[in-house]
Amino acid sequence: MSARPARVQVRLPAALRDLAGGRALSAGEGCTVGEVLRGLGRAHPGLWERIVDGQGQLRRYVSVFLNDDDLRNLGGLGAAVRDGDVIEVVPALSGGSP
Amino acid sequence: MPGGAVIFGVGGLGGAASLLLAASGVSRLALVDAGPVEEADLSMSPLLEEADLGRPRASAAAARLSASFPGLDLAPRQARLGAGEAAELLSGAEVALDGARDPEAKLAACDAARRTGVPIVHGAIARTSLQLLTVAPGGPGGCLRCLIEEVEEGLPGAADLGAWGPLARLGGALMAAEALRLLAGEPGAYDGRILAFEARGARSRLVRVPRRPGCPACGAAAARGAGPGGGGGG
Repeated sequence: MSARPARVQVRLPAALRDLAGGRALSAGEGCTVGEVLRGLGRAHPGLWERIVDGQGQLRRYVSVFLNDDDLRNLGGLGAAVRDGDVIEVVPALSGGSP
Repeated sequence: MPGGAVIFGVGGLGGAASLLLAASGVSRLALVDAGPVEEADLSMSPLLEEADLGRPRASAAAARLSASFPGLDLAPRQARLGAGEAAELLSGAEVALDGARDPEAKLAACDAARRTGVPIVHGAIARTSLQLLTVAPGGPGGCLRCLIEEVEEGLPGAADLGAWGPLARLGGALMAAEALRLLAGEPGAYDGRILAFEARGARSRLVRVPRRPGCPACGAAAARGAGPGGGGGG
């Protein structure tokens, strides 16, 4: 019996919000963090590629948190999600102020 | 420059940090910036005014600091420096602050700091998101180049996204506080970890920066004297 996809929230940084219709918080569904982000990427072209490289790995300058835990400590994009979880994408130092 | 601080980028973050360092008694500041004063600077930087529009940013910031702190030893440099030239500037400096707006300048500052062993406080801001990272010699984490191996074309930065003025002042204050810790011989609060602050929801996180094996800036290549940015920039 396959797991029911969980309903979660995804928080995006300023640098990626324009790719998601300007929204800081988006609803997502999936059994893992990767499934949720890939689903969001299908709805918003270009978003997935900003987070994940050509080898399917998190880009080095992007951190993703599942609730308060760094995804790198949870086994990466395959980390399981539950209803109500919050996934937050945090890119590293995109630039100084104008 | 002998002693003191070198500040790369004197817009919002670097301008606010410069002012606070001068007010805190730091006696030598080198200010490095390639651009002219623009409209967007006026809401960000405490050092720049409408009358400065079009003037070289480094000179304009230095003039305002000089007027407020006559005893301050200032060295404005209107230039885009490669890692080699930046390393020359850092020679003998005690701390570096990176408030540069574009990724190439930030990486050049990173490489220069790693090459010279000068601790550096990086700051970045995009709209309502602020980030700080300190990289000190012998520190627990990686450097900016461990995270950003190469500049990725098309990735929007502060110049494209803009920045919220109050957040630039807050970021500059945090950078100045961190620099003062380092100047006092204390460990940096953000050494090896990024402070990521989102002003919209007043949320903050500390994100550890792991050292990347083979990073040319802080790996074995740097130890042998090899690494990126051997020449000057344009």
